[in-house]
Amino acid sequence: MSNTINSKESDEERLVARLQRGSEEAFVLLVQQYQQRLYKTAYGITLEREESLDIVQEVFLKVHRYIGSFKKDSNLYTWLHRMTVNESLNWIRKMKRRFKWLHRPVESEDGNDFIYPELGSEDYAPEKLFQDKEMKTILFDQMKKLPEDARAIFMLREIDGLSYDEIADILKIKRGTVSSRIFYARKRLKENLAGYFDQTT
Amino acid sequence: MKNNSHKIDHALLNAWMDNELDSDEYAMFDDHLKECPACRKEVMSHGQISSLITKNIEQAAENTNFGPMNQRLFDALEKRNKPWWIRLARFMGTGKVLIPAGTLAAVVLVFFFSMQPAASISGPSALVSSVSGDYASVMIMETPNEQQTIIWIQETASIDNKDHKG
Repeated sequence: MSNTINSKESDEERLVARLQRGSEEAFVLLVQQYQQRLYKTAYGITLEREESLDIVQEVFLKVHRYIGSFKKDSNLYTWLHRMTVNESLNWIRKMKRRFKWLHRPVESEDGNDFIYPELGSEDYAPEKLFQDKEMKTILFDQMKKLPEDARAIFMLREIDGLSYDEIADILKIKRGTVSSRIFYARKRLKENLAGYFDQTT
Repeated sequence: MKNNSHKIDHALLNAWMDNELDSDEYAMFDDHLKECPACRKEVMSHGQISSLITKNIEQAAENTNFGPMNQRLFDALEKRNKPWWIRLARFMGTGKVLIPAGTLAAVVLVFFFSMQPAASISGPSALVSSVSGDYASVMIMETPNEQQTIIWIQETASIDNKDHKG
């Protein structure tokens, strides 16, 4: 196991050294190796496919530009991941400013959660929903209704498997804030999707 | 934490799901889960949502075609890596600049030459012949290079006076 880790580390160090020498092949390898993982992070935060591709592209362009100043004792993936998170959050903030007038509240005016009218109809039998694209649409709609910061933190935990401390470090927030945002996001999602899941449990 | 309690400690449950408990707390909550159906149900619900999110995001990443993004990325890098004179030459080659630059050059040339002092006509190189009479003086001269002939006629004051008198 430790051999695998050492080999992986040295592979990464070699890759960084080649990138710093300006090797084009090394850059192609870097893109192939990390684009899917970074895309998952960006997509988890933005929930937008094309924007996530643009974010990943921007991250690689920055890597190409600043690889010379990358410290060899740092972790390459951590650096890439951090840039992806920051780019994704910047995109969310930009969109929030641009479409402020379109922003929908998490709760409806009377304080009740949004409920899909089709809920409980025969077409939405839970067994079918699990394999249905509609379920994905419902899930993503509910995720989009979460406050952006809570969703980003929750997705960093769910998709990237980061610990509370790692998330706090990346986002420069307190560990308690991470914990409470994840708690909130999880609670909201469960409440809003309760009708779809309860019958299966 | 109470066993068989219907009041779920959501904060503890979240920490348990996120692997944020220490080993003693884990052991306690594991024991509690064996005896509390409400907490088990809660864990299952969260687990279903969690796995559905993960599955959908991973599927999206697997089904994404990165080809066009790679193309845009490497095009951008190629553009960035070209030396400035090649980029300039390519830019000039597109014709976007060629016509305005040519026009500008023509304007500058016209301006430059218009600011030059007019070439002075050189004086006559030699007096070829001179004729003097009662009414006028006539001189015939030649310029040095072009060999142009200039005929200079000068009416004398005395003649004018004579004419007026006459």
